[in-house]
Amino acid sequence: MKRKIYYKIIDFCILNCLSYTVASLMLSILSSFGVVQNMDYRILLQLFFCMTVFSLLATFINGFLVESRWTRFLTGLVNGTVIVLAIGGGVFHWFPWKTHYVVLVLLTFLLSYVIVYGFQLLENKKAVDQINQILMERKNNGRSC
Amino acid sequence: MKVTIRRNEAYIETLVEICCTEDPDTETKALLNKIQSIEARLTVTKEGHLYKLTADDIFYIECVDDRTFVYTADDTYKSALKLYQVEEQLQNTDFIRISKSVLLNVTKLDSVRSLLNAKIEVHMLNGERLLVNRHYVTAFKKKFGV
Repeated sequence: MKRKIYYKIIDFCILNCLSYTVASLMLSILSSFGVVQNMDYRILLQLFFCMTVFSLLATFINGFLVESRWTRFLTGLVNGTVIVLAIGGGVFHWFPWKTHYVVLVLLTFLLSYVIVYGFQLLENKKAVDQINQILMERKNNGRSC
Repeated sequence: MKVTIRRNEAYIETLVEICCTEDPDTETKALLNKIQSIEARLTVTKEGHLYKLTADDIFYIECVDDRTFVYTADDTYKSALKLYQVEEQLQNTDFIRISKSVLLNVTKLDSVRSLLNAKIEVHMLNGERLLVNRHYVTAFKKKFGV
């Protein structure tokens, strides 16, 4: 049980770091094009808060989901959209409630989400390659594993 | 790792003594797991006959409809124990839980493959394929030090 919680915490930390990095990178790019203005340390702290809530919810919700790729992907998407709109827009007032701003924010979030999801798949692929390498080495050493 | 074997007819049974630091390295841990796998035995039945399998004989153990089945390279046995009881019995061996209903012997793996739904498909040495549920993927990677 303790080990299970430990692994959940690791998953949460990785997701939190990854999503915060990608989201802040997206904001920086938008800022450099003048789409986002007044970007300072407060925005970055607020963004970190949002991504932490997102990662916490994602880790929590994933524990109850059925084993479907699409359910997981869509639930994460809905979870993130609600957080960006409710906390980012409602609490921190990152953007005015006008259609084009909301669409732009949602598109930015969607792109960030797809990048984070892709990174997670790549991380999994890398780990699997390493495991295969270990299995191969053990076979070459004359052991069954 | 240094290996010393002392042969003497005075020994009644084989004695394995491992001298290491307080925190054993990966190789030592693997050696300890291997020894425990040889020592650990599971009582199973097949067609009314009772058998004792070593952990090293077992490929994986599966719970289906509250019944526990033990799979070797080419045979299937039944165990009277619940999966969590088997898991306790096989603690510190090369077995790991890969889903709610399956315990896998990682020494019987041929290769693994990542799937798009964040699960891992494992290919066993006997050609069978099993899925590592995504809740158990982190623990599975950890077992290999990845």
